[in-house]
Amino acid sequence: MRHRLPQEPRPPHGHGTDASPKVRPGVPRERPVEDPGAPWERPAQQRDLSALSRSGVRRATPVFGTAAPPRGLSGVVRRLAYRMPEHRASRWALLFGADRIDVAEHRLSGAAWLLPAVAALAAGFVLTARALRR
Amino acid sequence: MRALVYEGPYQVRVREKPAPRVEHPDDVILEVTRAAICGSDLHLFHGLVPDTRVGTTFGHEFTGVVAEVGPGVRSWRAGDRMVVPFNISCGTCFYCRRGLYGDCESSNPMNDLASGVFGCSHTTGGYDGGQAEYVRVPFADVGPMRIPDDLSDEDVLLLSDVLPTGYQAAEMGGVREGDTVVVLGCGPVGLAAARSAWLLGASRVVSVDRVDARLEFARRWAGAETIDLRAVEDPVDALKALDGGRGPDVVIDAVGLEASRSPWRTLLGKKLKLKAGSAVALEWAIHAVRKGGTVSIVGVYCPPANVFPIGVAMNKGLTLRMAQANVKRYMPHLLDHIRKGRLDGTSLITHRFPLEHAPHAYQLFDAKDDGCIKCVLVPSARGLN
Repeated sequence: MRHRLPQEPRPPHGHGTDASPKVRPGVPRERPVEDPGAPWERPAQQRDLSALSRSGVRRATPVFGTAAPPRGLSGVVRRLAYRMPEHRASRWALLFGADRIDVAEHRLSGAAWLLPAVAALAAGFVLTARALRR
Repeated sequence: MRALVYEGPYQVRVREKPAPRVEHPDDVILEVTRAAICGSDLHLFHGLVPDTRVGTTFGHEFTGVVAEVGPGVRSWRAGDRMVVPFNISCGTCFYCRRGLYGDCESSNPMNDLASGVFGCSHTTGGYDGGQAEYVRVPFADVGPMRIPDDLSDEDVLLLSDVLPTGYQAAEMGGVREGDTVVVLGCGPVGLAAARSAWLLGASRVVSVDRVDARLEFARRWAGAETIDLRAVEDPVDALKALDGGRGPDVVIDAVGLEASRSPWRTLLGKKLKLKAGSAVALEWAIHAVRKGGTVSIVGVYCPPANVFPIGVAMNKGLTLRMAQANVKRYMPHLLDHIRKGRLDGTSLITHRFPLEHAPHAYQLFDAKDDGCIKCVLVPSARGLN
């Protein structure tokens, strides 16, 4: 299956095999296709639309992804962005902004385990300060 | 399951996350055997694609073994091996009926830009990708191709994106016998485009990059002449000089939004993200190609906008062609080229890692260290065949 690699720049095996546009799969660019794997006129609708509604997306396609539904402040900004027409730069700027907020929220939530320790230290500091004042 | 998870720019980790489930009757759940890292994954990794959410699993080039089938699936059974196109397409919408699978309107509710794509930002539908032990594959009877028994997963892995995208780039260039074709970028897609330009009958193919190992690979694997960007003062002059100052017939932009060599584009587009990356390669392509020539764009650009010399393109009478590849349309044709030894994607794979080493693989691929052309992750024990 594997052929020997040429050592100097020169045409590899198969040079000109697809020279005729007639054998190129993408020529013409648009042509009628009947797909045997798709018996439907329109595909069935994916049932649970909650991931879309949480994103603020109003159009449901027959299938869609549910990888990371929006959450927190970044989710609020994403919902705001999806209310704007996609030809507006502000929509994309808001999505970029939401991405950065998302990262910040993730890092803050990752540090949540520190909160009890910080609270205990603060309480200790306040109590010590009060005791010393007496 | 174990999966690569995005946690912010330049940060990916491998973590536990819930395994995918059948969410639509025509879904298949695939146990992933091979998942490649693509240059497009680096754009996500760098935080340059809008609506890239923390927790998303990347990966749109993968093969696998069917683990579970939805009730509507007719052509797949548990244990079947498949290679999956990166576009998710329904087969019957306005676009699919015209062969434009990359524009399918049944799989991306987020906007009107493109079809759904695995493991990308939510701008392409919000699907998790294949850099995981398992992945959900919608419309399983439409897009994926059965892996022939006599071929390994790696033999066909790059039919999921790299080879069709490279081939379509050359095809969109309208390459004719006798043409001089310049390919900007010697990443996997650029290399595949260079090799495809020969298949389409080019008489001269010139690859451009600034990484020694990649230039060497372009000479050996794609049989191309090369231009080292570090050795030329003005890339446009160097490219125009190829045809006596007139310029090449076709220039293929296989770089996209992360091109370097322009401080202001780097600052505004890549660092401050005030525009969609840095369109340096596209600018060079438009200036370098001959009048009446064709610029073919497969390097990824993102919304909302970029600055490029449309006035030059108009006055030179250029043809600008661009698209996400319609992968399914090319798979059978390119499989034939693979079988006949005319296109060998396996040789592009230079590095393999278990899924747990994915963060290191991203760093390596990003830095283009160690002669890295293509990194492939092996997520499951079943992949060690």
